[in-house]
Amino acid sequence: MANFPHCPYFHGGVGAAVHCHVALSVGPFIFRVISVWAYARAGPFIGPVELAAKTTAPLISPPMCLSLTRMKGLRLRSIQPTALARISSEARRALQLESAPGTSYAGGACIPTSPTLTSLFSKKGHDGAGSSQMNPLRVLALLGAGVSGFLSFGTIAAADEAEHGLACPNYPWPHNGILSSYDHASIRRGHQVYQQVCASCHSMSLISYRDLVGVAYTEDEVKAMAAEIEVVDGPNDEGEMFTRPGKLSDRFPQPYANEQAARFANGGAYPPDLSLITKARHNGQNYVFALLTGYHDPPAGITIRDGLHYNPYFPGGAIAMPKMLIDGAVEYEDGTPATEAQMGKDVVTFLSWAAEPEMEERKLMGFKWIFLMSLALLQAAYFRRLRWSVLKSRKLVVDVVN
Amino acid sequence: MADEEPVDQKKYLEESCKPKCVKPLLEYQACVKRIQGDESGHKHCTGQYFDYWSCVDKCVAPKLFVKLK
Repeated sequence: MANFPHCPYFHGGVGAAVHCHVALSVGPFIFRVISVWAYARAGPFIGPVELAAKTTAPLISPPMCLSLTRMKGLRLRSIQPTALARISSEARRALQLESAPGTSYAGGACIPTSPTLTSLFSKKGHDGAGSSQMNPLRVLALLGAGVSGFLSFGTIAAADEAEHGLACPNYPWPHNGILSSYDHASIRRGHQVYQQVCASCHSMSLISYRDLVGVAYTEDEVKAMAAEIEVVDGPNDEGEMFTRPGKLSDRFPQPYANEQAARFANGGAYPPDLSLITKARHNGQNYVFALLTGYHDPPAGITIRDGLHYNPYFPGGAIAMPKMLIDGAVEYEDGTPATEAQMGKDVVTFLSWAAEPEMEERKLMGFKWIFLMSLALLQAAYFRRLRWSVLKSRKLVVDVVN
Repeated sequence: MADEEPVDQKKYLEESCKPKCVKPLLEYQACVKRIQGDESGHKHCTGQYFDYWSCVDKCVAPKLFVKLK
C-alpha cells in the first residue's frame, strides 16, 4: 500500500476514496452554490434604512447619508417629503436625482436600493417579503448554508474508525509554551536512541553532523561521531571514487542505497525519512509518540497478516514496523533509566528539533515583533484619529436646490 | 539508578487508569463475548476498543511527562 502521508481517505481503497471525495465535494458544493445565488438575489442589506423609507421618517443623519450616496455615485441632495411628491418622474431625472442605476429616492430619505427591492416596495401590502428580516430568498440562503454544513459533517462521521486510526492524545511537551525552548539534554538522548535503534532502517538525509554542534554535542564530540562513518567521495585526480571518514559537513548516513532497496528489505514497506516527520504528520509530535509507545494487542475480531503488526494509532491499524522501543534497549550516557516512555519522549524531542531547528529563534522573534507591532498599532491608531478629527468634526450645511 | 528493572512509566499509568475507564472496558468485554464463535470474520470490536483506549490515553497524558526526565 503506498505510504501516503496521512491521506485519511485513501486507506479504504480507491472505491472508498472516490465515494468519500465525491460526497464531500459535490453535495455541500451544490448547496453552497444555491445559497450564494439566493443571497445575491436577495440584494444588499438595507435594514433599518428601508424601514425609515416606508414610514417616511425624517432624514437620516448627513454623514451616513453622505457615505451611502457617495458609494452609489449620487450627489448629495435633500428634499422635503411633500416637495418630492409633487415632482414628476421626468423632472426628477432632469434634476439628476437618479444619477446611478439601481438607486432611487423613496419617501424623502436618502437610500440606495436594488431594482428588485424597489419593485417589491411598490406592491401594496407586501410588508412581509419586502422587509429585511423576512426575505424568502434570504431564508433559502441560510437554509442552504446550514444544510451544506451538516452534509459535510455527516459524510466525515460516517467513515470507518480504524481507517483514520485512534486519535492520539495531546501530551504536555516541555517545549510547547509560547516562550519555551527545547530540552537539549533530551535532544541528545533522542539522537542516541535514533542512532542505535532507528538508523538501521530510517534515513534522515536532510540533517548534517554540523547541525548537532551547539545543540546536543560539542564540536569535538560531533567530529569524533562523524569520523566513525565511511563516506563515498570523489572523483579523485585519477578519476576514481574513494571512501573517506566522515566530516562535520556530511549528511547523516542512509541505511539503504535507494527506495527500492529499502522496500525490498522491509517486505515492500518504505521506512520514511525522519527529517521532517513531526511536520509531515497531523499533530506530528503527539502522533509519533503515541505510535511508538502504543503497540497493543489487536481488538477481538481483528487479525493482522504475517509481516505486519497491530498499532491502533496507525491509519488502518496494520503497520510494517514492529515495536522497537523495548525497556533497556539503550544505555543512556547520563544514566537516565531507558524505559519505553522515556526513549519515546527523547526520540520525539530529537525528531521535533530535526524538523524545526529554528523553533527557539522563531518564538523569540515572534514575541519581540508582536509586542513592538502592538505598540506601533496604538501609535498608528492615535495618529489616524488625530488626522481624521478635522473631517469627522466638520458640519455640513444642506441647501434646497431649485 | 538503584533499581535494576525500571518499570515503564506509561504501562504503570495505564494500569492505574483502568479503574477510571471501567465502563468502556466492560463494553469492550461484552462485545468480545458477543462476537465469540463468529465464523464470518466480519465482526470486530474496534469501536469499543478505541473508546477504551481513548479514555485511558486522556487519563494518562497529563500525568506521564511528570514521571519522565
